[in-house]
Amino acid sequence: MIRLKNIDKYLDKKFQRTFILKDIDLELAQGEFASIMGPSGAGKSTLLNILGFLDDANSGEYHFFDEPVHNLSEKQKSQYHKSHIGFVFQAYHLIDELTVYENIEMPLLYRKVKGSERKGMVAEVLDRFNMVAKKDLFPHQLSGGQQQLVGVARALIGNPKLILADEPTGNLHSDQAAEIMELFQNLNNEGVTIVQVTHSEKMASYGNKIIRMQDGMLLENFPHLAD
Amino acid sequence: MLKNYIKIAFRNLLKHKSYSLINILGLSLGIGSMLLIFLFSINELRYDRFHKNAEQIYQVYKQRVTPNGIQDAMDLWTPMKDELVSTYSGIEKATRIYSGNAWVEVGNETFEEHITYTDHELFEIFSFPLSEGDNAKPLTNESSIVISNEMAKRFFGNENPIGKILTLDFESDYIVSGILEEIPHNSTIQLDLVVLLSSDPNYSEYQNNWGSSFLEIFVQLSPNTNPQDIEVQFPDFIKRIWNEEVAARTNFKLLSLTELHNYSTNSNQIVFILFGIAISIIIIAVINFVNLATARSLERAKEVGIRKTLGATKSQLVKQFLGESVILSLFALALGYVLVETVLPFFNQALNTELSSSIIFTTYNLVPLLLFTFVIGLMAGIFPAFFLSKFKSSETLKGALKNKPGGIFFRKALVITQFGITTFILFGTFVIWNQLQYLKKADLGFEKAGIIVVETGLRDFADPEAAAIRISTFKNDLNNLVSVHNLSSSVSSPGQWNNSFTFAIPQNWSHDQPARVRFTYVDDAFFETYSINFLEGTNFLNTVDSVQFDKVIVNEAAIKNFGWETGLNKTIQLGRDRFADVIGVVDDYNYESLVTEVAPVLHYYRSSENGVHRNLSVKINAADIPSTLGAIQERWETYFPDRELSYSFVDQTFEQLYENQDRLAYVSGSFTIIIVLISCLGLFALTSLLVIQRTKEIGIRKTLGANVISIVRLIGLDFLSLVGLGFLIASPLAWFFMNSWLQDFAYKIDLNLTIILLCGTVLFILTVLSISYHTIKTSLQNPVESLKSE
Repeated sequence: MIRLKNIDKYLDKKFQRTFILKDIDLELAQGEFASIMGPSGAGKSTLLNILGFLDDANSGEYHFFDEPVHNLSEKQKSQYHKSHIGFVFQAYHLIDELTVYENIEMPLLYRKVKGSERKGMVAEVLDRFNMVAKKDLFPHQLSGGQQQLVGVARALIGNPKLILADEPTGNLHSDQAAEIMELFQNLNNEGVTIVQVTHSEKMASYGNKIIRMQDGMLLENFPHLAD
Repeated sequence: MLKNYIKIAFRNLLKHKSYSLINILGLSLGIGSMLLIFLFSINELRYDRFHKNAEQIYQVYKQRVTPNGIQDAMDLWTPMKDELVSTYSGIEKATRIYSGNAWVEVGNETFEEHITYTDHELFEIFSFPLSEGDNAKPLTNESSIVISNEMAKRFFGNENPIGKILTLDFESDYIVSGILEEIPHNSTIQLDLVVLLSSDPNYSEYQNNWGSSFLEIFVQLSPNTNPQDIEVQFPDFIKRIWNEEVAARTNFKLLSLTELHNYSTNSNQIVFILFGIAISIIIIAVINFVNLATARSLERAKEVGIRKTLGATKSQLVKQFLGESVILSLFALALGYVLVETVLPFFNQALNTELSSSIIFTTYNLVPLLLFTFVIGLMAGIFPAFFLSKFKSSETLKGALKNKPGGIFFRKALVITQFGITTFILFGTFVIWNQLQYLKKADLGFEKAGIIVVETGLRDFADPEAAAIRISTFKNDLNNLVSVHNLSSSVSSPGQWNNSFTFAIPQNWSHDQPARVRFTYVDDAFFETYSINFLEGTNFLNTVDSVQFDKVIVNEAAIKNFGWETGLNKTIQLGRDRFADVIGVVDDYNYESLVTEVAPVLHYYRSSENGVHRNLSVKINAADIPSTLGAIQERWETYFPDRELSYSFVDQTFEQLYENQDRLAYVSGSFTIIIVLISCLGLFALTSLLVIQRTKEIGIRKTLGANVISIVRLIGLDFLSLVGLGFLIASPLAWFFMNSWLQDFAYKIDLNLTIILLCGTVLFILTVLSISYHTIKTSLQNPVESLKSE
C-alpha cells in the first residue's frame, strides 16, 4: 500500500544542509497498525506528514497504492485526502467555530455528498461514538478525550483506507488514551490501515508493527544506532 | 457547503467582536459615506436634467472682451428673443426670464414674493407640469398668473385658487390660471409666481430697447442643430443690431442647460472633491480589513490546515475567504444604509439640499450599488484569501507559523498608504477651514461691525411719493438717536451689491477700447458710514444732485487698472460728450465676497433723498445693538404700519456669502473625522493583534532587564515610523493640491509650515492614542504570565 524509497528531507541553510529525514525505505501493507517511535526531533512527524501528503520529500520516491505521490498535483492530493486518508492530531484540531456535528460533517461537504445522505452518515457515526447528545456542543465545551473522539470520528466518516495519527493520545490521560487505542484496534480489525506517532510503548503495543527512528533515520536500516 | 461558510463567517464575527466591529464599522462608514456622496453627486450632476428637452436648451449669454480679459454676463435685451427666433432657423423657441420680488395683494393681505416675468414659451421649452390649468399654454393672456402650490396654500389656504385675483405691485390685477406641480429641488429655475413679461405696465417703454439689458434668454434648438453653428453667426447679428465696434468687443455664446449649474456654482469641483473623499474612505476601510485579516492569519491558519487535510483545495479555501469578506461588506452596506438614513436630515439641513435615499431603490441604482459592494468585498478579501490559503497544513498544524506572522512588508505598505491618505485629507481640511476663516475674518477695507442695512426702495411702496417723504422723516428720527453714529443712503451696500456696468474711457485711453466698469450711486455719508479711507482727494459734498453730476470717486483698483499714478486732476469720458472729474480715490473695499478680486468702481453722487437709493445703512453703537434695533423697529412701525421692517446686518450678510465654501468645509470636515476615526480604529486593532503576537518577545526582553518605557518605545516607534512615512509622502502632494485649490480665490492664505506642523502634531497625537492602550498593557504584563503560555 505504501512504499517509500530513499526518501530524504532536509533544510538548506547557507552552506549547511540539515537532514530531517535521510534514506528512508519503508513498506506498509494494507491492514497494518504501525507505530512510529523515537525521541524528539527524530523526524517522526515529518515522516507522517510525508505519508499524508502534507509535506513533500526533497528526494526519493513515494508510491501510494502504486501511484507515484511525488508526481501528484495539489488537486490530486486533495482528492486523496478526501477519499483515502484520515488525520487525527495530538491537539485534536477541531474547528472552534463549528459544532461537533458540523465538524464531523465537514469532510463530507468537501466530497460533495448529498444532504440527506450526509445526515445519515453523520448520525451513524455519532451513534457509534455515543455522542448523539453532544452533537450541538462546540469543541471548547468538551473534555480532551471527547474532543479527540470527535477528531477520530471526523477522520473516519470518509471511510478512509489509511488513518494517520500524530500522537493521538499525547494530550489525554490514560483512561481516555486507552479508549482511543481500543477504537483504533477495532478499526484496524475492520481493515483500516493505521499509522500513529507515539512516545509511549504502551500505546505502541496496541499496534502490530513498530518503526523506530533516530536522527532522521530508521533504526532497522541502521541497526548500529540501536544502542 | 455555502451554508457552512456562512455559518463559519458569522460565528467568526461573533467570536471576535471588537475585530468585527472595527471591520464592519469601518466598511459601513465607508459605504455609508459613499452612498451619501453618491446621493449628493447624483443630485448635483442631474441638475436641470428633469426637463424633457434638457439637451436642446441653451442659455444665451454675452461675453465682453475688455483689455483685462473676457467677462461673462447673462443679462440680455428685451427685443433679442424675437430677433433670435426670426434670424436662426435652428432656434425653435425662445423665452425671456426676468426674476425679482413683487408685492402681492390678496384681499386685505400683502406679501412680498419672488416673481418671474417670462413668455408663454417657458412652459413649452421647460418641463414645468401643472397640477391645474392648461398644461400647454397656461398663460393665456396678459392678466394670467401661474402660481406654485406653496403660494396657493399661502394665499388661499384650502380654497381652489383658479380664477382668484391677485394684485401685483399695487397696480395690476392678475387672475390665477394655473397651479404648478412641485418643482424638483435641483432645478436652477424656481418658480413661485409666473406672469407674461408683456403684462408689465411699463413693457412698451423697453420692449424695443437695445440699450439696456436686464433679462435672461433661454432658447430651444431644433434636434439636429449644433450650437457652434449658431455661435459662429453671432458676430453678424451684433453688427446688424449695433455696429462693427460693438461686435469687436462683444460675443454671444450658448450655454447648455445641463452645464448651467456647474457654470454658476462650480458644483463639479465639490463633486470631484467629495468623490475623492469617498474613495479614500473606502480604501482606508478596505486596508483595515486586509491588515486585520492578515494579522489574524495565525488564528485562521489552523483552520486552513485542518480543511486542507480534510480535502479542501486551495481554490475552495480562496472562495471561502472571499465569501466571508463579501458577506461582511453586504452587512456593511445594510448598516451603511441605516447610517445614511440617520444622518441624511442633518446633511440636508447643513447643505441646504433635499436629498432622498429613496432613489437608491431603483434597479438603475441598486444593481450597480450591490455590484460595487461586491467588488469592495472582493478587494478586501482577495489578498487575505490567497495569503491564508497558501499555508501548508504541515506547518500550520504544528504551530510552526508562530514566529512569522505573514505579509509584514505588505501590511507596512498598507499602513503607510492609509496614513498617507489620512494626512492628505487632514491637510486639505485644515487648509479649507483656514481659508474660510480667513475669508470671514479678513480686512474688507471697511468696518462691517454694527451696520444695519434697511431696505427702503421706493418701488416697494404703493405710493412712492408719500413713502419718500416718510422715509425722509424716518431718517431724521434715526439721526436723532444717540446710538446711531451715521446714516447713508445708497443703491448698493457691501455684501448686497447690484452690479451695474458702464463703458468708460479713462483719461489717456484710446477711444476704440472703452473699459467696462462697475458704477454705483452713493450719498455724501457713504464712505464715512463704512469707514472707508480716502487715499487722496475729497468726499462728495451734501448738495443737490445736479451740482455734482460730473464728479466721480473711484477706488484704488480703478487707478491701477487705468494705469494712473494718481487719480487727481483726471477725467473719465462716460458717453459721447459726458465727462466726469475724479475728485477722490478711496481704499479698495470688498463689496462682494473675497472669492472675487476688487474691481474698479465708479461712485457717482446722488443726494440721500434721491429715489434711486434702495438701502439705508445705519451705523450704530456696537454696545446697544438690541435696543437700537428696537428703536428703529418702533420708528418704522409708526411711519409704515402695514409694512414689515426688512433689514440685515452687514457682517452677517458677508458670512452668508460663503455658503459654497461653508458647505465644502462642513462636508470635508465631517468626512475627515470619519476618515481619521477609521484609520485610528484600524491602528488600534492592528496594535492589539501584533502586540499579542509579540507577547513572548516582550516577556523575554523583560526577563533580560528591559523596562516598561523601553518596550513601549520599541513597539511605539514601529508604528510611529509607518505613520510618519505616510505623512512625509503625502504632505508634499497635499501641499501641491491644496495650493492649486487656493488659486480660485482672489484673496487667500499662504500655505506655510504651521499648517504642516499642525497636521503632523494632530496625526502624532492620534497615533500615540491609538497604539498606547495595547502597547502599555502588554508592556506592563508580568513576563511570567506571557512565557508560561508557551
